[in-house]
Amino acid sequence: MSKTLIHAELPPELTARAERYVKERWATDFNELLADALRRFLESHPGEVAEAQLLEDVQWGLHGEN
Amino acid sequence: MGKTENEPPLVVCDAGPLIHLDELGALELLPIFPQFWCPRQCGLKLRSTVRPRFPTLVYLCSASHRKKKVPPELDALNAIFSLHIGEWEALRVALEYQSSLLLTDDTAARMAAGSLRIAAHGTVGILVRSIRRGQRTKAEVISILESIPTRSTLHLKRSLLDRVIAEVLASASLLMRRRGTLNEKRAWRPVLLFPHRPSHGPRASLLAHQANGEQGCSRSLFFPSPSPLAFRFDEIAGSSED
Repeated sequence: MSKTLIHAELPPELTARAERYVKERWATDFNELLADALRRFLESHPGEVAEAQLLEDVQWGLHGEN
Repeated sequence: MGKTENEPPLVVCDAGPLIHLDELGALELLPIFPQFWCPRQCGLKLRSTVRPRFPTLVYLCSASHRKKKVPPELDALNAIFSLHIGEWEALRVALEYQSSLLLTDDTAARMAAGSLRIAAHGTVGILVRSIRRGQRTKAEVISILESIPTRSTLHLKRSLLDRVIAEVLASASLLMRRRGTLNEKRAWRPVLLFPHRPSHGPRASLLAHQANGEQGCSRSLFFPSPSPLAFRFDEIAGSSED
């Protein structure tokens, strides 16, 4: 599988936690942990759902009862 | 207003809407809710910015809630959605108090709320609601919505924002029509577009003025020609159709 090299800036405390996680062998390496975290975030925050939620907000705002 | 309308008995909010409404200069839309709670984790983050202008905001004391057992369904959802601590706490409290309303801008937290049958809305909902509640005018809310990309950290796709604005414009007009605040006959008249050519000079302006007054158009606009929409101004001005 081809891979893309990225440069990312992370908060130091988050980086430290991630490095500790890898050191404890919960993940193969930092790259795997980062890819897995990104995948999980994108799966749990799908754009279509966010869009539907926003349009639902508009309907509630305009026609809701409370 | 609103004494006859249903108020949610309790609103629980994570940091997102507080931050975004503050960035948009619309934080005062929130104290209208009679009971407004914010998890302590979020409160700590906001104490220097939001707190001074939101004195009725109640920070939840996490300790009392932490003594209680976490509902297993929330534990499961937390594992699935990787919720932030503030979102998790807000959900935990909202779950405990029936009929509470959760305010969050996080997609995953809203999905979790849906699974727990907790009503959830976000910043845009609060902004639009302010028209219905008479807190802001439609024009003010449209202006705030337009400023979201430049003034706030709320992430919103431009095309979606345009759709939201279009829906607010359309629906708000209908609301106003229902309330009789607009002259219905005048409100639904078309806007006339006049191709502008230097040779038309004052004559074009005069005809446009007559079209406005005599044919009841709400307004007329000049646009530069050539344009695919261009047509002869005198045809429009001479039309007798109201």
